[in-house]
Amino acid sequence: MAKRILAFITTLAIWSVAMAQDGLKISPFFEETYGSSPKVSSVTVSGDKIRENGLSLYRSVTVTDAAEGEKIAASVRADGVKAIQKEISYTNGKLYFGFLTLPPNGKLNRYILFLNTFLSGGDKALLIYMEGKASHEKINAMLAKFRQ
Amino acid sequence: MTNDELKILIGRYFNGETSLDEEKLLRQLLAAKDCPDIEETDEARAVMAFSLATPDATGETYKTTTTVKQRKKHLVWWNCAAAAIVAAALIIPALRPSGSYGECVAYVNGTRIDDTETVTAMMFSELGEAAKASNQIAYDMTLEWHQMADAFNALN
Repeated sequence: MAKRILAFITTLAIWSVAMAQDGLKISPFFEETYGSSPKVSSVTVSGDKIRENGLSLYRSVTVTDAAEGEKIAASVRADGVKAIQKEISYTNGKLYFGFLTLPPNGKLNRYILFLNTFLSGGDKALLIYMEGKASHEKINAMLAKFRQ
Repeated sequence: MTNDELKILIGRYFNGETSLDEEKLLRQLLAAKDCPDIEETDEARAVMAFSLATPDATGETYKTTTTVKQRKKHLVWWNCAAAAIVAAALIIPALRPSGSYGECVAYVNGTRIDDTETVTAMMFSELGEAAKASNQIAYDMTLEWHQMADAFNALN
């Protein structure tokens, strides 16, 4: 009995760690302790608010420190290696913009958007992570609405 | 019962050939004070999981827990339940999307914001910034293609 309970607790521990990491290098920037810290803004939206766009999860982090923005850029580049679709732009050798489509997690498509406005005279770096059944084309169409 | 008869009964018990009455008789014999102290009786006691035999006024009663067969049934059920729980713990997270369902929260400089309109406005603003950057890049790319096309036409 004690061995069974120990095996169950071990499984739960592994499960919770696996969920938190999510297998992406950008995951630490979406932990609550990071998002709720000073000098960082974060947004988390899930459920009905974004379902009409074919999304189940929207997470973003905005930092106002250029060095922190470079750390995020490095994580985006690392995750971008696995991307199945990429739109990326570099300025002065640094990642300025990235729109990555990652390999699906089960039935969920995953997307990363990154923008480093420090490289264009701005004062922030923005990281967005989205999950959902929406295709790359649907996400593009959604972004097109915001371009207008 | 002689030692030989007892050994035969124990042998039949281990072979699964005893009836319930014979098993009951065997327990009584093993619990009795005058039970012979031989190897077969020790093995039978170990299997039947005796702890203590508490004699009553006659000195002949016994106390036992569940039978070995009932124990095996319980073990099978416990193993199945444990396996089901572990399987559920592994499968359910894979089916559930990341993040809590119906969450709408923002943090700005450590301050939590729960107001739905404010949070969704922040989300749309961020998407707008990303969309403008994407649009600018697409425009720059188109411009470069035109420049290359002009240069190519000029050569020809």
